[in-house]
Amino acid sequence: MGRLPTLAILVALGMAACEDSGVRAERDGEGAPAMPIQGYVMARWHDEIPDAEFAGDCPDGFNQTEEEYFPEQWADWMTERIRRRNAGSYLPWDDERLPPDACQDPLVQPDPGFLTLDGAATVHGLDLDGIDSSRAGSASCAHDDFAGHNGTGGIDNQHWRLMGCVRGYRPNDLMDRLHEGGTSIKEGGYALLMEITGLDDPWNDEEVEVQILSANHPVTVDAVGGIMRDVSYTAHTDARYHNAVARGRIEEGILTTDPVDFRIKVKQQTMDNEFWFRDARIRGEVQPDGTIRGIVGAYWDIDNLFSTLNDQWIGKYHQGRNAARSRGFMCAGIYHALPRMADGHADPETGRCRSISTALHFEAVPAFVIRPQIAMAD
Amino acid sequence: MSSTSNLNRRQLLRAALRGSLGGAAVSVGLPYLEIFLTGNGDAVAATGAPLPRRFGTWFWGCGMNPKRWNPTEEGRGFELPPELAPIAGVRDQVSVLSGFNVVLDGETNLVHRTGVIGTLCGGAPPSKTENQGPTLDILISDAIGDATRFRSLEMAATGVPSDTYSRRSEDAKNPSETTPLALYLRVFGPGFMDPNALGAEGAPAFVPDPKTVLRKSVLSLVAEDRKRIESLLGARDRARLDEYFTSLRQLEHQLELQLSAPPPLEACERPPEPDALAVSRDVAHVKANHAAMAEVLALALACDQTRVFNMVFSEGASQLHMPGSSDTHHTLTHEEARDEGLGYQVEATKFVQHSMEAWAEFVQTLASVPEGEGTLLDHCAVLAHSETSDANSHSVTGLPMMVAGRAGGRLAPGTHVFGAGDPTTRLGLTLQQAMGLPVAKWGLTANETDRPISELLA
Amino acid sequence: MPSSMRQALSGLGIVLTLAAGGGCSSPERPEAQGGELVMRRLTEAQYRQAILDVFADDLEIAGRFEPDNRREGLLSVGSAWVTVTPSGFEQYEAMGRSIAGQVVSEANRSRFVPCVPGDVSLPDSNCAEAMLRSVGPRLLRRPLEDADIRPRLAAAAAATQRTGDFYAGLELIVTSLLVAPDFLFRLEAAVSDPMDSDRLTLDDLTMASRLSYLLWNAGPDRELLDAAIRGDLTSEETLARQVDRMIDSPRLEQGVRAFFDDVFRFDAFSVLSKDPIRYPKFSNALVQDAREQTLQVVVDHLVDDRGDYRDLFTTPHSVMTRTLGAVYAVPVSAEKGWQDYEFSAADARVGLLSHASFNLLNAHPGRSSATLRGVFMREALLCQTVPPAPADVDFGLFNQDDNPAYRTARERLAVHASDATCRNCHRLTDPIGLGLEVFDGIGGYRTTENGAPIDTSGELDGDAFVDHRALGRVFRNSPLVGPCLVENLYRYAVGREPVYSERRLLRHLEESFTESGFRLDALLRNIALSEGFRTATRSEKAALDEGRQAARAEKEGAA
Repeated sequence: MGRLPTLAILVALGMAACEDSGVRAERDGEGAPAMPIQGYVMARWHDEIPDAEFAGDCPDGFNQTEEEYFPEQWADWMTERIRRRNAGSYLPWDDERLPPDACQDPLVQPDPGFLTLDGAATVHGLDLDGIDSSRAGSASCAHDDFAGHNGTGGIDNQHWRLMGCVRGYRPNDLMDRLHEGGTSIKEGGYALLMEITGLDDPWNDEEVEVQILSANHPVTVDAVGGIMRDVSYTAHTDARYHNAVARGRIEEGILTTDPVDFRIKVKQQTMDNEFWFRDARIRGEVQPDGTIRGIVGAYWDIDNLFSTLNDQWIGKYHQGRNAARSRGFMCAGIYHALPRMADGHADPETGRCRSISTALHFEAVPAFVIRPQIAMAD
Repeated sequence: MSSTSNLNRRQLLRAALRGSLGGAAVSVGLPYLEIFLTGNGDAVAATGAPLPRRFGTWFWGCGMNPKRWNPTEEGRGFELPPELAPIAGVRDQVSVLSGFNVVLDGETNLVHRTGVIGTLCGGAPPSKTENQGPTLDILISDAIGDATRFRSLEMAATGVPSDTYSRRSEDAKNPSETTPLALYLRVFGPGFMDPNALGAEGAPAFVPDPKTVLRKSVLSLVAEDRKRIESLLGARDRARLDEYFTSLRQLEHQLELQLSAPPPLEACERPPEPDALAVSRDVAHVKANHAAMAEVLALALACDQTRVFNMVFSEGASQLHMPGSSDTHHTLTHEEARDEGLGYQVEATKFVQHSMEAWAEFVQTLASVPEGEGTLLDHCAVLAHSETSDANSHSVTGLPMMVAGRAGGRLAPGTHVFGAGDPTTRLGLTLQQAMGLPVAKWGLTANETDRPISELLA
Repeated sequence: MPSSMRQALSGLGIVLTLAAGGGCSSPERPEAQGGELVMRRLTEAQYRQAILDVFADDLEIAGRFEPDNRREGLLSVGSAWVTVTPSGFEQYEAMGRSIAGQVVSEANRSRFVPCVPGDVSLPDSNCAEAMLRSVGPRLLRRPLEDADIRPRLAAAAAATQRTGDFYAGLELIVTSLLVAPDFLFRLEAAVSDPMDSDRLTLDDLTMASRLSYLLWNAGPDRELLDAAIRGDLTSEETLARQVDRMIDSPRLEQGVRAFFDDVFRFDAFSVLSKDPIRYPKFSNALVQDAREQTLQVVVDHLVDDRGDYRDLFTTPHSVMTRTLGAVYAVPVSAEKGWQDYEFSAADARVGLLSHASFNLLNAHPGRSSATLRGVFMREALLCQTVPPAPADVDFGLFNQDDNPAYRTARERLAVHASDATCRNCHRLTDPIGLGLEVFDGIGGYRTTENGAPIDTSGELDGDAFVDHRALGRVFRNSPLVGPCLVENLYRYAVGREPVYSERRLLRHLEESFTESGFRLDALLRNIALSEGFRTATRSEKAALDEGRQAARAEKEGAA
């Protein structure tokens, strides 16, 4: 039969082509060879909160909520609330007895001050400005760096100094528990993706490119509540979230990148916003199972930061002050504290800093990043 | 849904069972009925008829370790070996049998099949398709099943409908209910007539549902067609059609029961609707489903919805597994090395432990429903068995068997009987006789016997 | 496959070019007398299809179907042996009532009831009869007779009088049709040969049923029923016209799907469970998609492309969803639903045997199983019998106390090869099953197990293969593959094992299948037009013949 030889030739050619495809990376149990492009989805993405409390963290105590600090403003509302509750009903969220909302308009309240974490501590993070800074220095937006783990120093995390004396942000408190549970990832509306290209060797590669993007849909959760591997995600249709590509390199399994800006879309519970990080650097460790775990150190634009803290909605009702109350701070206070604590991107004319250093933990799980079609679906 | 007078009676009974009354009034044999079950609406007291006897089977897969399961002492008060330890709390209600075989009599041992079919059908089957039925429960339900709404109820804690051993033949297997909720809806869903809610004092008078009559007339229509169709068929297909019409009549019977108020039943109460549980062969899920199914079944029996039941805890060649394990019970019995010091397969034996725990829980569930002078269990005979003794060698000698309950006074549990190589059909014969079937001998060829196990009988 | 390549390939070799829609204008098919008539219970899929065909696809079918039984490897044959148990009948009655209720409900009656009664609270025999005649023949798969009509009209009238509702009577009529044995079972009738009363020829209505279930897995449509009533199905030419019409129809896909769903034993999917800790990617969506993937690939190749059956074992063409993409570890651009996917020559996967479906099903909850996969390949794809395990297998001899845990399946199964009792059967199953060990218990690809590399080389009846890709090629070239499909399809078509007098017919079908280029549509046509398909033997004689055949076979075996 004439057909068989033709097919045999085709298959033989295919086998030959197989011989010289890229470098194979044997991860234990995983057989797929390393591709020049490797996609990831973030299974973990949250701000650094130190592993332990330090004795000298907040000598003046923790920040107060509006009700605690301005009790006389809240007296009427409190009384009415209790009266209604006893009668079995509730006050509406936009009740007129509520004091002016500084979360919606920070200037309607006086600045109550803000307690920051000024002392020494050991935190996870990166040295973003390359120097072991201190407030005593003459540089603009001068600030004290932290010590890092493993004997490193010069860790820039003004964000932690800002939030460190807020009750809900203390180690093992509200935000820490939410981070551990990974709810913002699992319930989030848009998965967070990373793609590494130019990857010849997953352990040592002098030149790779790294891109952070938002996906068009949520993560896929597996049968035991983890983030499923090898899932395909379509990048967000709005190219605003496709972000610039950072240059990077991998040395002995440590991935580092040059600074790059990125915006990511976050939609979860009451929040539907974007996060804008500037001059972000990634430092991750490649694991034997193919995941990458590490830190993103970045400068968070302070106006964006403020909006993510208080720009929370349920329907048409603003939830910023509820979020602030449950976490333990006042929008008015934080609004004025932010420029004081900011340490990045100084305005050339005024010298005032527009961004604040921060650190985020990430865990990236292998996935496929699919670019959306520009033409109609095939 | 029960009238107040019934509630008080039930509370009284429960108190009696817990022994909160002084000893003298509470002992077997005294005429309870007059003392506790007075008042109208109690058919048992009025007619003096005994409470119904129920028969059930309870199956677990992959047997046990004979050296750790078989008791060494015969008779009562025997020491419980390690694998029987879980039944300590119910040992007075359970008899244990060891040393009974399925005699192969020249047939091949069809692995994971001959042991169970032999015990239930009376002989070693020659092939996977022949002589695979009718099983013991069918023989009994043919005799006593007419009285109740359901001829029998089958359930599988594994959630797989083909995990069933109740059948007339390989091709006519009664499928198992797969979840506690499905079992509940079948028995206590629409179509359930609460015997204590209808026609008793203070309760609304019974009015039959008009739809029932229409449903019956549909079945009559179909039944009329029988002769015309039969004439087209060969012998084998006629038998299958016969089954179909028997099943149709069973539904007709159910509908007939729905046309009149059922007599009140002291012990009956409708259980709460069970939660939807995860269903899989993970042993934790299987145990949870089993427990929930047992609860529904116990009340189904108390409400006389059926008198024959078949529970499969794990199927022959059990595929039960521990979470996170790459092995199943069955693969472990073949592949796990015996622990040199202990002398048995440690991981595989954990499943034996689980099975015996589940069995004890099942027995306890039946014993926790007060009924008549005692409990529901007192009016049951439940056969627990497996398709093999030593699963590693697929042995069908010394098959593990247990019988729970008193069968309304016919059985005297709590003893160990050693079979010395006798066929397991002796137990099948005994149980049929305990259930009132006029059977003098039972079994095929070398398994045929006419000697019931008198040690089990009261 | 690009059309240019297809054309090129079809030009090569000896291929009987098939005319559009037609099969071979075949030379004589050998004589054959079929075995006994079979009464087959509708499968769940067939029941649902009937409701869809006669009523609509938006009716809710709420109930539990009794499990079907597998005999001779096929549910289609098992359906000729199962009956209806009490719990099964309860379910049929509940389902029938529920469907009938929906059909005559206020929202739906204008769709399904062909008339309006004079007075809704009174009986109306004319309208009731019109309803009965509208759905009865399609459900019972035959014209209605007086005995079907009169009792039903009387019962409907009585029901209306009882309830004061005409539609209660219609509901009763429809329910009675849906629980009738003529509906639930495919009854077969035949006419005996005047010269020999044991030889039967199936009557037209039985032929109509056999054809439509074989080709479309559905009851006969109006055109086929009318052809049967006209007597067209007993003459070869008019029969062929109907066969060709049905093979050309888009409904052929449904029939082919049902056949392969049966052969591949996909009913086991409904009770499949995997350990989520070992296989976190497992989900119900994966199960559904895996089944659909294999059936789509098969249908695309055999029906849409009219391709060579053997090529299924080496085809790089597949379809994917994102759920499958996660298990296959391949990128899938379609956010929802299906897309075509071509495996490249460098990919680990090629051909049917690398599909997630088979590897999911023929495995344990927590690991793969070379033996189960080997058994499946032998029994379902090569039609060979694998004897069951012997009773007295004792691993005590092999479980050495000083052995560390075997790291790979090959190592674990090596003990089977070392013992004479085990070797006989395991040498049939394990070498080919081990060829698929790179696919774990849910069909994911891996090259190591517990740190040790997986070796997938082996041999199939003397044909060596170096790895799992080559296993597909070896399968493709096996002389057993084509004949096994023929045997399976024939058994599926007639619902029983072939009988002695059909043996020449089967040989002929196998040869024609090969000559046609292993085209399924040609095979279907040949079977549908064969004598074995349209004849039968009276069942008592058939049983006698079977006994004689068994004795003959034994004598031949001993000789």
